[in-house]
Amino acid sequence: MVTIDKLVEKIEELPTPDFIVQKIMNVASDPNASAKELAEVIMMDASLSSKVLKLANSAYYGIPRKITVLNEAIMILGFKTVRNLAMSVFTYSSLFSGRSDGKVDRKKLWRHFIYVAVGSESLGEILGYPVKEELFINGLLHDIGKIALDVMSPEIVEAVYDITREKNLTFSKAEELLDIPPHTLIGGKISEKWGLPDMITQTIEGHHNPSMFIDSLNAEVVATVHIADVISNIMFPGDSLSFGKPKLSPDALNILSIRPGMMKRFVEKLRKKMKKAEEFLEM
Amino acid sequence: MANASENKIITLFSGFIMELNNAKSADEILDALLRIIRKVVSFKWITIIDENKSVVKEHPKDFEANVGRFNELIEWAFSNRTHSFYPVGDEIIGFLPMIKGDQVLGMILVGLEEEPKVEEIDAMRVFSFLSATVAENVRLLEEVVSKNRLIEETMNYLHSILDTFPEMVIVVSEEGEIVYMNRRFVEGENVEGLRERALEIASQVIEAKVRRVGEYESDGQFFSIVAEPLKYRNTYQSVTTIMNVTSTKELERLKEIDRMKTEFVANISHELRTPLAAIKAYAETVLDSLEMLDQSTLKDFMDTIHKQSIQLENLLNELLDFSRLEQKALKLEREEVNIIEVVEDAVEGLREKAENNGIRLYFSSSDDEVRAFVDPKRIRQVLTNLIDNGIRFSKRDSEDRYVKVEVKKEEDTVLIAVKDNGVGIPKDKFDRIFDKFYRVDQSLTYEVSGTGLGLTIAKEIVELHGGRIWVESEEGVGSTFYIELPLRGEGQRGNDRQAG
Repeated sequence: MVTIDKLVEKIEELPTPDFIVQKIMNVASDPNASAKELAEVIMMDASLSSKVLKLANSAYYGIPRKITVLNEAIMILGFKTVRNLAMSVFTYSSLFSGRSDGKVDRKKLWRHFIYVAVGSESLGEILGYPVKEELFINGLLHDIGKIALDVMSPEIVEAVYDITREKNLTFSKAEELLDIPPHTLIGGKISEKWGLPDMITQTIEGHHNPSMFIDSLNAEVVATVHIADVISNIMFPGDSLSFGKPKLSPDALNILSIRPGMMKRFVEKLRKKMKKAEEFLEM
Repeated sequence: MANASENKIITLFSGFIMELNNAKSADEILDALLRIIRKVVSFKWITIIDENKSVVKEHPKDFEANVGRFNELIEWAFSNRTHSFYPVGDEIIGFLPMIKGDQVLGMILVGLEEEPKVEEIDAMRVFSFLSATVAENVRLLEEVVSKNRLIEETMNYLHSILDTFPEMVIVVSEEGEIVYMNRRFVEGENVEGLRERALEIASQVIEAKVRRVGEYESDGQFFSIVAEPLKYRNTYQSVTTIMNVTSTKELERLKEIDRMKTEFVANISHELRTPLAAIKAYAETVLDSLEMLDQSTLKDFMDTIHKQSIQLENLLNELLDFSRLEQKALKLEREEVNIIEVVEDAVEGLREKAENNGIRLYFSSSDDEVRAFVDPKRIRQVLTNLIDNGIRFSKRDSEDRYVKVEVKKEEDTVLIAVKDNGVGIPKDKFDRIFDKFYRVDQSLTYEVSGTGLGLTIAKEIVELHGGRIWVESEEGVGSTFYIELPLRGEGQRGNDRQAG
């Protein structure tokens, strides 16, 4: 039997985001930072900066003129969006850095990350949430526990995957059946270890059960990611190794005061944005 | 460091909230937004456009941002809802959409000399969100206020229409309260008892939920009341309309008199012809066969002719009296008499007729002598008429038929009662029997003869004496006519009454 303690030990062995990514996170949340400073940090990694520029010029943002320097990208898209791009590039490379002989379809898992990120941001737009970029990064990282689990013990992930697929169950239900530490908890631990903001840690821990953080400062963010995750799982069953019928939290709907008409608009908007987000899927 | 910047944000917020509190229109909120942005960054110019890209506000006043040149970028920022900054020439231009929910209400364009810091961008973004929300709410409020004004104007218009109605209109609630009244009702409400009557009918309507009509009469004024049920929310109300129909009623009364007059002419012709025909027939017989008639038969014939001519004379006298009465020319010739004698005289005058009809005639008096200052001929005429009525309107099939005349002296008056056990008078006709031409039996069969003038004349004579005449009666049981006369003849309408 795998216990959370044993897993935490293994977490220590996981790759930490490199220095540059850490720095990007820091600069982007420094109120006195300037575009120039952030650009300088990103430019320390040539591959990262070219990938960020590529994403900034992608159909997803549809900027009417081509951006050639990071500085401009930061000014036009904002610090947080550029931070998100850098974080996306990093998460993508972490996901695909390990061995790839398992049954788990990492491409689909990545697609899930991006769709939940895009979905959270779209829902934020519909709800009029002012800092929609925060929703993107929270959506992107919500299932980070699954990557960690796959890196630490791929056999567990495979066992879960077998059950969810054959018995048409959700990932969380399979975790319960197998009595293994849930990916939400593992993800939370990693988030803490990497020094990510509390908001992200809470989203990772609460994205299946937003009621946990109903009184938190981040209740809206957790609830938004939860809804985007549920919708994404319904639209693409199995992408996140989860099948069956995901449970939509009534608390999440209440926290955000979502009316039925909004859900319909959300799904329509999400479909359009998904098409524009192709470039995020293949980096 | 973090603390200092948090404090700055709090200061900015406090100032902005204060400005928002004072702002009374969407425009003033945008002014507040401009001032707060000036506190966040130093800009060269600032322009606010609405969702159709029309400029709403510019600063400085004489500056023209020429926003058309940024069309593409504005479109992009609108659709992407991104707050972004573009370097254009030596300026950095900020595009800050104003968003409420998922609606973009407009955009702030701001020209900066330097790149803004993260904190400045975040602050501008939050303030633009906040002011969009407040401005939109203020705009909605203004809309509601102007809609309310429109509703009020419409209501006033409807009220003034309802006020011009000739009818009084009220609306009564389930609790029996008047929730609406038009001006006509306010003016006419002082008619005593009218409000209560209208409320009574309205409450019946609310109860039964069907239309009801009613009438009300007060002080010679007639009102027609029509109440309709009205479903309002979950309760029933009554729309009650009250119309003053006095003039219509008066017209109806005149028409009735006219009809009675026509009837009267037909009636009187019949009344005159009957004795005339008898006189003529008997006179002809006498003339044709004078030599063949024996003494007693001749006397019988002459007797009939005499009686019929008296009947004719009485009729003509009645008509004459009536015509005097119409011309207000009826005069009394008063003298001091023993009124007991006058009454008794009238009774005795009809005794024979009563007996011939099988009716017992009684007379009784409280005193032997009651002195009164009256016109004895006229008083006798009145009593004759009343007793004669008692005889004529007796019940044919009844065994014991009578007419009783009683005289009773009271303090300053004398009360004469003429009581019979005849057919009686329906209660609703008590007043009308004294009207000219009025006959209770309005059929044209004239079961009982009469002109319909007797009581009218009697009433006039009694009133000329300053007295009163009235009736108490029960249908099928009998009637009692009362005459009350002042003894001293202080009736205002005395001997010297002028002809009108």
